Amino acid sequence: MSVVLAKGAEATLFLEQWYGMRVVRKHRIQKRYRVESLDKRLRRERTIREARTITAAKRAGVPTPIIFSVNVEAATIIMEHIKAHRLKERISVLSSNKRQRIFNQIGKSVALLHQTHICHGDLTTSNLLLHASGKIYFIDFGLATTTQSVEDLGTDIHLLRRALYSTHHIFWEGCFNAFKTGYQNKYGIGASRILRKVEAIESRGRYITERIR
Amino acid sequence: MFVLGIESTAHTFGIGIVDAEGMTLADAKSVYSPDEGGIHPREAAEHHQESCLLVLQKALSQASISLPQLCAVAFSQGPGLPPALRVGAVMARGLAYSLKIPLIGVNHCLAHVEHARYFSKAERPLIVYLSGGNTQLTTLEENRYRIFGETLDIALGNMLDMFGRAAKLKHPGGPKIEKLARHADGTYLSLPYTVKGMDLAFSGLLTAAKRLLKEGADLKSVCYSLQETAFSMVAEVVERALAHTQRTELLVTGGVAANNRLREMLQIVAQNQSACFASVPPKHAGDNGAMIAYTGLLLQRGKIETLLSASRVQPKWRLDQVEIVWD
Repeated sequence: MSVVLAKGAEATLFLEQWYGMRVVRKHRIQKRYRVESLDKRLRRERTIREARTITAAKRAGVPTPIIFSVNVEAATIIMEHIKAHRLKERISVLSSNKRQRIFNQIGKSVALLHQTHICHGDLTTSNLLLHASGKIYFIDFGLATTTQSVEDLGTDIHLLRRALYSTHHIFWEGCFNAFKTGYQNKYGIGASRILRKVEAIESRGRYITERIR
Repeated sequence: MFVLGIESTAHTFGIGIVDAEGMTLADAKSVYSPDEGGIHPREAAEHHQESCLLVLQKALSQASISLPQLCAVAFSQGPGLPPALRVGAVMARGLAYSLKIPLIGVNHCLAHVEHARYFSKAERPLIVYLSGGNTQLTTLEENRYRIFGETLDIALGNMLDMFGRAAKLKHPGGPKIEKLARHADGTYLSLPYTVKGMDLAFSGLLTAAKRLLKEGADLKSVCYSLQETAFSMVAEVVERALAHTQRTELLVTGGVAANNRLREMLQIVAQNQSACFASVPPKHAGDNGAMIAYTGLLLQRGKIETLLSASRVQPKWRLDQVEIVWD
């Protein structure tokens, strides 16, 4: 039995039975628009990267699905099925207090990732799952990198900021401020250096009036 | 009732005229083409000064109207190269003041986006704006174009032009690279691929492609691999943005939208995400005055005009800073 659970931009998720367990099989599908060798390279790389970083993130204390099995050639990963909603779908029905708590939590988790030198690479509300327990699960680590550079970590936060600003423009600011507080508290020394970098990256964009010197 | 629009953000000095329905009656232009290197801002401005009156005459005769029939003058107020922008602004102020009609400052990016929407009749599309100066993914939501993804360093068209220069192709390099790539034998040379969420970066790719050239790789194969890599990156972020925003229409605009291979790739992406695909007609893809005139008309309908005292050019005016008063 295999049911399509979701179809994302990169992969299709199937809900399946696996040794008596309900699992998700994530299959990175071939992209017809890309040259075959490039397509193969990207799908291979990202499958390996995702499996590795999800496990490392879990070890660091960030809620992620458990990885059961990886097939690099087929570009598939079998992982735990998390019964939760994408944060993007729930965010607007939450109370402002709850939203703040959640983003504070997200800030702490991202700090944990960054302290373990994991850069998620695609932090949007589509890639965060809100569990009934209030826990936030991180998924989609296909673009993740292992890095210690302040620039990379700053870019990670910059992407989240922009995703919030463009997708949830009514309450993005409160969310992002709560995120920063959580991030700063957990990360401790060095957090402000990364957050300053976020602003520097922002100012580097096309046609930004106020350049930071 | 006719609106005249002046475009002068970069290498193109263009004047377009639209009627009250937004239909293009005239689209005249003169394009500055440097003998070597990229656009020199002062030389571009000199070119615009020399050609502006001729372009105006051409536009008026194309539309077969005379100046007193105009009801507004629109001009690209930014973003762009300051010296080039000023030429258009000076002409617009002069016309508006002498004809006693409203002056309307138009955001150049907005003009590309709105003109593409006009041709496609798309209602709420995800818009991909790819040109020499811009690489943006955007949708209109509650009075603003929200930007979901963009380049973190240089624009896609700029990257292609810079590579073209390194390969000694004449400016603009994009169309020549497309032609060379079409005649390549399909050997794909591995190049860096940089996607960060819905954002892109092209500078590493450019450096690596230039290095391949220096090492003596076949120019056609490098052009092919460069296009395939860069456009795959764009296609990927577009697909991600479609999935994230759940929009069912995809619209491509800007100068690079004239590239057939890019359109082909984005068409597949749209299919994958069950979205309709539309692209600005290649004729209107590059910078032109008609799109400025058309957007000027939209602004005029929204009762927005620019006072003389506020008509200073805005070289760094971002698309998401403009308040949109229509759907």
